[in-house]
Amino acid sequence: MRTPRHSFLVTALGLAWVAAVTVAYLWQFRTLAAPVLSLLGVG
Amino acid sequence: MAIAVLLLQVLAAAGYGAMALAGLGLHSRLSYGERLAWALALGIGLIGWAAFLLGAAGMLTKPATALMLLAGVGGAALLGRPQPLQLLRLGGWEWLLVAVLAWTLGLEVIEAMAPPSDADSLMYHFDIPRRMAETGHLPKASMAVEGIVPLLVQTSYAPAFLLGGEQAMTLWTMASAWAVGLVAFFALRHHVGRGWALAGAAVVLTTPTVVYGGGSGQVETRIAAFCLVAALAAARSMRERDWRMAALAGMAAGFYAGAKILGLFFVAGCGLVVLMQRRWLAAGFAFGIAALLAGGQWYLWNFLHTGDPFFPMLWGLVPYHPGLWNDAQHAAFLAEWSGEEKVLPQTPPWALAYPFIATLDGPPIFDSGRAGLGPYGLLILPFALAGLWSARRRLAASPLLPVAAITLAVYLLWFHLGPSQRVRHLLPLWPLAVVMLTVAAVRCAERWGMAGRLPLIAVLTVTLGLQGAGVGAFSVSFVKRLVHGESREAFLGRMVTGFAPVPWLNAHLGASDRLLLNWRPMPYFLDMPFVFAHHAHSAAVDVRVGSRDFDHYVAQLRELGVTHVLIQSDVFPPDETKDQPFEPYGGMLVKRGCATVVASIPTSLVASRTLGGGSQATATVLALDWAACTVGRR
Repeated sequence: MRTPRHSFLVTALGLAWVAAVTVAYLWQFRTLAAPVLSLLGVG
Repeated sequence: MAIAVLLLQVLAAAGYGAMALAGLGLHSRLSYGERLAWALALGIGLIGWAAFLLGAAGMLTKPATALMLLAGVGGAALLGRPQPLQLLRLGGWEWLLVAVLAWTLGLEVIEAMAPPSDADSLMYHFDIPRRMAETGHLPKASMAVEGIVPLLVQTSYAPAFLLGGEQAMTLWTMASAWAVGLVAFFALRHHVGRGWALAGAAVVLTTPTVVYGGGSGQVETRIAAFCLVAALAAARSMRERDWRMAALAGMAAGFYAGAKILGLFFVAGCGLVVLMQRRWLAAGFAFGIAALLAGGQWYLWNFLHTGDPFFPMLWGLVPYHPGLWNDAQHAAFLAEWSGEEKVLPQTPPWALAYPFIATLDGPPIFDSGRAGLGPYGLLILPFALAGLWSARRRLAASPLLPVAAITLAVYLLWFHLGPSQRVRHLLPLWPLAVVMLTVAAVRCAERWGMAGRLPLIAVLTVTLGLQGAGVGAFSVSFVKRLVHGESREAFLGRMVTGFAPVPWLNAHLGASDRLLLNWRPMPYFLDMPFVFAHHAHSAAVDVRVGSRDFDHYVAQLRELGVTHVLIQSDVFPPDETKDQPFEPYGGMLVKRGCATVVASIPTSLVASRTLGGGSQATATVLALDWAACTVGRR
C-alpha cells in the first residue's frame, strides 16, 4: 500500500538520482569552464 | 528571395508528403497535426528523390526545379483544413516549454542567416548541392565517405540553392531539421498529455547533436524524422494489419537508406519487425518495394559509375571501373575505419555499456561532449524502467513495442557492424528513444501522483536548462555576427579554420586552373576546378599515410592537370619526416624544381567555432611548372 512515507521516499530518491547524474554528466565538461566563462565575458 | 524559396520548398515538401499519404489512402487515418508532421518529413525525402531524377537526367535547371516544387505545392491542399491553434489554453509550465522552443528555434534562425561554417558541410554536404546547381547534374562517386552516394538529403538542398542561393539553402536546412520535433510531438500526443509531448519535442530539438547538425548540412537530423515516421508507421501496420502503413514505413526507411549507407541497417531492422505479423507476406512485400523505390536508385547510380553499389565496400568482390580504387587504397581505407573510429570492442556487453560511456565521458572520437545526446536518457532511465515495470502486464499489447524492437535491432546492428562509434551516427534513433522513455516515465509519474511527477519535472528542468544553455553558447558566434554587422569574409575568417587563402585563390585562379588541396573546410567556397586529396578515401592522388612514392604522386598530378597546390602548415617547407605525405610533397615539389611559391598567406586554425582558441599557420600556394619538371615523366 502506498503511504506518504513511500511517496516521500520516491521523490527523495528520484531527486537524488537527478542530482547525481547531473553532477556526473557535467564533470566531463570541467575543462570547459574557463573558455565558457570567457565566452560570456566573465573571468 | 531566399525566404520566398524557403516557403516554396516547405509548401512543396508538405504537398508531396500529403500526396504520398493520400496516394496510399492514409491521410484520413491521421490527425491533422500528425498528417502535417508526417507529410513534411516524407516531403523532405520526396524532394530529394525528385531532385535525383532531375539531376540524373542533367535537367536540374531553374525552370525545371521551380516547376518540380510548384507541382508539389498543390498537394498541400490534401492536408485538409487546419485545426484552430489552442495556444491561449496553454498552462503555466507549457508556456515555459514554448519559451524554450522559441529560444532554440529563434537562435537557429540567426544561425541560418549566417554563411555555412561547419567543416563537413563545407567539405561535401553543401558543396555537392552547389556543384549540382552549377552543372545541373548529379555527382558521380569518386571518393569514399565524402563523395559517396547515397545523397538523398543533400539533393534536397540543391533546389533551394539553385533557386534562392546559399541563404535559401541554409534556411531550408534549418526548417527541415525542425520536422523531427513536430513528428516527435504528435507521436507523444498519442500517449501523453500536451505538456509532456511539448517537453519531449523540446528535449529532441535542444539535443546537442541536433543543435550542432540541424542547422548545418549534416544529414542525421533530417534522417531522424524519416526514422520516426518509419517506426511509427511500421507499428501501425502491425496493429491495424494494413499493408499500406507497411508501404509508408518502407518509403521512410528507404529514404534513410537513400541518405546514408547506415540506413540499410534501419531498413533491415524495421523490415524484420514488419514481417512479424500475421499478414507478413503482403506487409513485407509492400515495405520492401517501397524501400527499394525510395532509396534504391542511389545504389544503382553508384553501381553504374563505379561498378560497386556500395562503393568501396565490395572491393575485391565485384569488378570496378578502372583507375577508381586499388588494393593499397582499400587497405588504407579499412585501416582508417577499423581503428580510431571504433574504440570499444563490438561485443554485446559493450553495446550495453556504450550509452552510459557516451553520456558520461566518451572518448574524444565519440564526439559526445560537443555533439552528444545530452543527459536526458540517463536522467530519465530509472523512471522509464519503473514505468515499464508498472505496465509489465500490458507491454505485449503496447503500440510502442514494435518501435522498441526496431530501435533495439537497429542499434545492435549499428554497434556490432557499423563503421564508427560517433554518437551523432545514432541521432536517427534518438527521437524514437525519447518518445519511448518519455511515455514510460510518464506512466510511472501517473502512478505516483505528485511524488512521481516532481523528479520528472526535475529531469526536464535539468535537461532543458543545460541543453538550452548549450543552444545559447553555440549561438553566441552567430549573434555576434548579426550584432556587429560583421562582413561575410570577417565572419568566415573567424569561424572557418584555415579560411584565409580562399579570397586569394578565387581572385587568382580561374576555370583553366586546377587546384590540389586536402583542406576539408574549403571546397564549398572554391570557384575554380579542384582535386581533393584524401589519405584514405580517394585514390585519385596517392597520399596514404606512410606512402613515399614522390614520382608516382607527381605523375598523378600531371595526369590530372593540376596547376596549383595548397599547403596549410605551421612552416613552409613542411617537415619531411611526417607520416602523412601531402605536406612534405609540397616542399619536395619546390625543391625538385616542379613548383614555385606564388603566395604565402597567414591563416588562423580555429579550435572551436563556439569557444574560439586555436593557432596560426601559413597557407602556401604553389604554382606547378610542368615544362621545368622532370619528375614522374613517363
